Amino acid sequence: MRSSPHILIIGGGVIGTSIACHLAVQGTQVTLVEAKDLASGSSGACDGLVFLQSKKPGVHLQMAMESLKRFRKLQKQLPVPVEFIQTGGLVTIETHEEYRAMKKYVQDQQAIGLDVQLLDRKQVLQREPGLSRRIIGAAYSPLDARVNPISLTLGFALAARKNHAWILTRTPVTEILVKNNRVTGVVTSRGTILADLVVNAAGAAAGKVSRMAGIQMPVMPRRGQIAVTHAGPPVLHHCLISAGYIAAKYNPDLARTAGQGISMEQTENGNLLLGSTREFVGFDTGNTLPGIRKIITEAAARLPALAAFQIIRTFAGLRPYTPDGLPILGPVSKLDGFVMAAGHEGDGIALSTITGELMADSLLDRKPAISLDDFSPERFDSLATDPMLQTDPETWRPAAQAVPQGRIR
Amino acid sequence: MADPYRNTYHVAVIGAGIGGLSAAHTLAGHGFNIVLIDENPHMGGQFLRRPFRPHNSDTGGTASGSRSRLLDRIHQDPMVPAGTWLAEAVTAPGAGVDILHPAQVLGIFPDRRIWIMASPTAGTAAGQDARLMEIKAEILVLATGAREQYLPFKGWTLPGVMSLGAAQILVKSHQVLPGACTAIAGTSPLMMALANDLLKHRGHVAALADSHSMRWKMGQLPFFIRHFPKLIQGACYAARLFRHRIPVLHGHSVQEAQGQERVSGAVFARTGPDGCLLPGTDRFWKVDSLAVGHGFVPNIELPVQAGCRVTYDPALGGWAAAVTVNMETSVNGIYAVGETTGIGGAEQSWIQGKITGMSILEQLGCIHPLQSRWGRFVKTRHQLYHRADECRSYGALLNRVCRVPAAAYGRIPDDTVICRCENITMQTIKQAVQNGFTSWSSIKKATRCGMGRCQARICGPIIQKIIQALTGTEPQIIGPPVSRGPVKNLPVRLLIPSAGNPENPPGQEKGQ
Amino acid sequence: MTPQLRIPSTARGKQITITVNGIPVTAHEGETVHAALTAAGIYLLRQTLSGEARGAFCGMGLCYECLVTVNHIPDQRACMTVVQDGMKIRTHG
Ligand SMILES: Cc1cc2nc3c(=O)[nH]c(=O)nc-3n(C[C@H](O)[C@H](O)[C@H](O)COP(=O)(O)OP(=O)(O)OC[C@H]3O[C@@H](n4cnc5c(N)ncnc54)[C@H](O)[C@@H]3O)c2cc1C
Ligand SMILES: Cc1cc2nc3c(=O)[nH]c(=O)nc-3n(C[C@H](O)[C@H](O)[C@H](O)COP(=O)(O)OP(=O)(O)OC[C@H]3O[C@@H](n4cnc5c(N)ncnc54)[C@H](O)[C@@H]3O)c2cc1C
Ligand code: FES
Repeated sequence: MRSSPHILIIGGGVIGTSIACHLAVQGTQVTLVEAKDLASGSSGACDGLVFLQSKKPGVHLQMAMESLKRFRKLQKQLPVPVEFIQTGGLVTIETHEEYRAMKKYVQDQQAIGLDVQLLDRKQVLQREPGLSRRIIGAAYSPLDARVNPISLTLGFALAARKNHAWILTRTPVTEILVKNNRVTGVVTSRGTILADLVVNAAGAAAGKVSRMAGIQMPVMPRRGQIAVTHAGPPVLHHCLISAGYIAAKYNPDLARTAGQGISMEQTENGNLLLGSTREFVGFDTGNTLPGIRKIITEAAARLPALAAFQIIRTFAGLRPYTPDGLPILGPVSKLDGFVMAAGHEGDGIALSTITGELMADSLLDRKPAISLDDFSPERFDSLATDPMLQTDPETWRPAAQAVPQGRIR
Repeated sequence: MADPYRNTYHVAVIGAGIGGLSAAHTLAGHGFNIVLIDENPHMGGQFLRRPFRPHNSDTGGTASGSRSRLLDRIHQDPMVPAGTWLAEAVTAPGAGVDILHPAQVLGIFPDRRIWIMASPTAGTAAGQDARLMEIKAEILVLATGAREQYLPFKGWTLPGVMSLGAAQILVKSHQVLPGACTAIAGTSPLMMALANDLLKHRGHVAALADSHSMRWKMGQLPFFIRHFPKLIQGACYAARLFRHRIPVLHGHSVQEAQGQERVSGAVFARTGPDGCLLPGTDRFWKVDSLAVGHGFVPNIELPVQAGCRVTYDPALGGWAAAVTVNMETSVNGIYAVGETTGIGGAEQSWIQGKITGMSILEQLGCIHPLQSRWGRFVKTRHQLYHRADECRSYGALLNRVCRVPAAAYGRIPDDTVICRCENITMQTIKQAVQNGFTSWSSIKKATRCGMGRCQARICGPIIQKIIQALTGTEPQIIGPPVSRGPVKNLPVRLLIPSAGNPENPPGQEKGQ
Repeated sequence: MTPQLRIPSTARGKQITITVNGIPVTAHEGETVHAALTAAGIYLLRQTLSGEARGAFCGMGLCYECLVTVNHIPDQRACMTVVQDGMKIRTHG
């Protein structure tokens, strides 16, 4: 590889901008091309939870822990306030089955040294007096945090631009140029841009973008709807998710009843973000009546103080879903110069800092702090015939209905 | 609970202004189930502002002298009695139109499912006994009208500073003066109308500041020849102002509203040709209320939420629901009528309501195919098309007269609040624009403007004009404000299963 | 002393009494809370989280500046609520 390659990144979400930022500060020549506006994809339509507890022990949790370390230092490097606060996180438990499942889960996490503990109802209510008495306990970790995902994305972009990255918005990539099995650049609505390396950070559209280069990648959009309240007095001090989802993973019998889990956070302004749904509906970013209703009722059941709040708006984002819940990071061996950086599903914000750093290292041929082997684009190759990995080319939903249970966030 | 309303209707009309009333009236009496929904405690939308007493006549109040009564009669808008009649006809017990109000439409979902918050007895859609309901309609008519727009100035968030419409509602619907001494400013025909109403009821008007110069206004006069009655109306208003010796400052704008917890004074200054306020020309007026407004913009949040296409045209007042000549929107089964489709006055809403009604009757098979090609139906319809065009041309003129010189928006002082809900200042907006956030969705993300309770209803058009003034970006590129359900604030308590739920107490005990 | 802002006219709904922050205030049937408060000289309805004074602005249910507590229910629009006899209003100025 040449000493100073021109790297082109497709996608101005938190992942694309983080990579651009990490590359640009090292003096690399970077161009970022975004179809609409910065943070117009999932990164501008999500919660900002930087949750460790929800990550599966293993490489996933390791990534999250490394990312968290970097978040603490991040503010100094970015030109806008990103509202990163370690509020501590609660995973609320409502049934005894959930309690049993969470107990095991917490033990596993403690075993690898994560600062997490199981609280009973009284302890939970002490920490968070506004919560419903229906909650019988919670897993608590002081490490869990939140950040403003939009400011984070814009912050990465502005920092990248300050370091001479070229950022083009409202410029969709329509074609990927390939010559002798090597990517040479992209065609955009504003013309052709030549590049040595092309990074696909197109979020939920990464599958679509890969197809432009003739590569199949099992990234699919998974919609999440969110409701936002007006800015009110503080009623929720921690980031909160419900255990239904995690418990279901450990006890398959619960999977049918546990629902999709709920998340809540109160931002610095006082707005409560209530989320979310998990739906395969292609690229539809609409809000549905049952979706909004479900989120609000479930959130209010856990936080009765919500009764005094009003919902002022809703939105929906498309998580970049992959079949095994892990992002796809690194060069595609079948096509020289084509690099994947997408598929963070519900964790893209939390993993953005580490992803940017690892990707920058990998693109510049340095050894990344965490090996990218587990995230390799090739990991799905051997399973290419598995119906669960197939995307319906029309609807962009999984071809097989039996969707494996992913993680929350 | 027994529900007095059905949950399916042939036609649901949203908005009971002249447009909605007219559509409902045309449809009534053909055997269809029709529901007319409005969030306002009073029927008639922004035009019909009748005092509460049912037996009172239209404009309300007794005039102060014989000369004035004559003036009133000359300039009375013929749409007032027409609209009053319409409102009575539609709400009459035998009319066959279910009236659902005050009821707020929160959103329109696939299959024309309407999500509604209604409160049958509490006098407001979100009152004590409020509940959520869903109505399904075969055909939907969106008649959500228009709102005012503004040019922000220092102190415009002070209590006592209000829109011209707010002052007008106080005077005409409630016969309450907006203050003991009121100043009026902006670029709107409502300024003269308001001053006139205040004077009629012995209110004090300190001064009226019109951002347009006398010269500019005179230049517009020839265009009004076609709309002669409006000229007469204007002349009558001016005569009353003159008689009461109310200072009318042409080419002046508000520089500042002063006061602590309430406005106590207004400073007007002369406006330069590029929209800046000329130093040294400021004049102070001691007032306790200040009414401002700079014309109108269509209320498109419901059409946008429902997925209807919108178009931008300054002649329509900005972004407006795109409709065919028969008032169909881009979404199957959804019609739009009145000022939602472009500013054009009460008559336009009336005419469009009739056209909508006829189109729907045709769609529902009430008009014999032969009849819909020949005969009186066609003739009437063509006359209406023609009249609607005339109203549009008046609307275009009106919008031009209200328009503030574009540059004025670029010259708003840095410390002025632009987004009232989120307290975002001009400085923050400018900085974001400099950083390249020049589309509606990106500036919203970069600054939080438009993310508060009003969901950009107030600041949206302003920020669009600021971006336009600072960068020359076309509104089509800046994009229309986005809108999703609920289009207005939805109390969470309405979604909590029941008040008797043992789950509720902990929070509520604490809450109150 | 607040000036008389109710226009002395014949047509008005029946006189009723509401309380504003515990103090009885005269109102008339058919009026909105906004109108009744204005007539009583009450313009300051609430404060923003940063402490700025706010009162009714649009008068027609769009801006959410006129929020008051009505019969213990918080954040109701004064301009879109019709008064009822005995109604308890709380402002947050
Ligand atoms: C409801 C919801 C809640 C969530 N909550 C959390 C949370 O609490 N914590 C967390 O860590 N994560 C959360 N997530 C997940 C997080 O939002 C995503 O993982 C993350 O935003 C993905 O970032 P991205 O940059 O990969 O994708 P995106 O932000 O979607 O960015 C991709 C960009 O690529 C652009 N693009 C696409 N095609 C093209 C093309 N052809 N040419 C040019 N540009 C193109 C798009 O316009 C888009 O801007 C949530 C997601 C949702 C939906
Ligand atoms: C403040 C103001 C003052 C005006 N004063 C005058 C005047 O003095 N003279 C004049 O000739 N013209 C005046 N106009 C112009 C007037 O609006 C039009 O001439 C005409 O009345 C418009 O009728 P419409 O039916 O299209 O809309 P409107 O009369 O605006 O009616 C729309 C109705 O829809 C309802 N609505 C909107 N959204 C929802 C929802 N989500 N749920 C339930 N209901 C909803 C509103 O409550 C409203 O009643 C004024 C306009 C405004 C904005
Ligand atoms: S004054 Fe604007 S909502 Fe009441």
